[in-house]
Amino acid sequence: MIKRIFLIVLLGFVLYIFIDSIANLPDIYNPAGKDFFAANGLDDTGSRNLVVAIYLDYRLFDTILEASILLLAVSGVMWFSHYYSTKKKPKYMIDSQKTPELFITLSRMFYPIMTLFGIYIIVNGHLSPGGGFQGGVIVATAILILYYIDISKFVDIDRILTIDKFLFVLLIALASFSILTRNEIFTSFIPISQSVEIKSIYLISMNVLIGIKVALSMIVIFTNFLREGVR
Amino acid sequence: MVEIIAFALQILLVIISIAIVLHKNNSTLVILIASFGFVAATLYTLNQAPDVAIAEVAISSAIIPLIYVLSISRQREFIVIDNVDHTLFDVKDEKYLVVKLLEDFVRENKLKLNISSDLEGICEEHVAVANVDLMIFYNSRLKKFELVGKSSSILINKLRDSTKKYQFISIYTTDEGESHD
Repeated sequence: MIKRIFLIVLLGFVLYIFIDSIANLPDIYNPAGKDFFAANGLDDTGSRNLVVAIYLDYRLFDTILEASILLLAVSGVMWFSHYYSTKKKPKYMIDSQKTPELFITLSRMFYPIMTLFGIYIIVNGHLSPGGGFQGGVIVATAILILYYIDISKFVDIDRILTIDKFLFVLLIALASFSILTRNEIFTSFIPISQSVEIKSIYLISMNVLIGIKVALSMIVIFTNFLREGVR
Repeated sequence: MVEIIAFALQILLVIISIAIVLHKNNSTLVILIASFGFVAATLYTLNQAPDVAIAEVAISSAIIPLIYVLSISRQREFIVIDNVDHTLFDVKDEKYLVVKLLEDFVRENKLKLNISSDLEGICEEHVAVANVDLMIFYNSRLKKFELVGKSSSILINKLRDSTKKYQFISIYTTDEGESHD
């Protein structure tokens, strides 16, 4: 009974907050931020895609925390499945499921196209819609399709997780490199007076790092589900 | 025109989500979840958010259905480890009966049987640790077949009911959870 009353009071509080925030909607949703990014985004960051301009320059701190959350999630999945320990090695876990021949052939056809498309989205992220996360997920899907072609493909998950951690450290290092060149942390390390083309060096390298990291994390999670502890 | 399409897609989204809640068949559910992702991505594109739409398509219509398909195909198998010494000829008829019984049981529950035998270094602890549904041992002192399964599995209780009339079969369960090292 007490639990229910507590729940109802909590829901009423959430409803009150919601109605209260709707009442003065124009105060919250004004176009000031949008106008600022549209006017200064290209000059400040060198990115024609304003979403990339926000998450790689104006709000880079948020992006690094998101990357750390992804790393934490992958480590959590690894830790929970670790109790199928490496000592026992249940080798008799037999993969006898048969993939249809049509699906294997289609996967072989789509694999290079999907990989190329993912890399295009990563590298071209500052010019067209896309970016590191989206392209990384597409590359990860392309690589995961390989499991349907040959299920006995061996992947060393621990090594991939180690690479993932090093990439995270590299990401933080590249993001905080600007304290030497521009004297402020978590922004582009190329001076603001440079041209748009030179500024895109930073954007491309950052997007590539994020893309590789996301792809590796997805591969680790999926392989863990697939192997169910068999390393 | 675009507003009409967006309105129709929003109604479709509500219909698909109600169907996801109400449906019972697993493989249909996966397709419904994937189509939900596609419709949501189309709505994002119509609302001028192509970045979010790409992420939605990649996550919701590729990665999540892949994981679901994999998990469902894993659930469809009934993995049995046969640990009986095959040189014992005096129990051959009974062993044949055990395998036939398991085949009937698996066919009733719409699963696939996956028996593997002659594996070295197997003990009962492995039932709790690995992804094995059942193990067959032969107790030569009691002249009984011992079937060991997880105590949390509903299938084991069904199997116990269906094998009650056979005297030479006894069923044990082990607790799932922490390993012993």
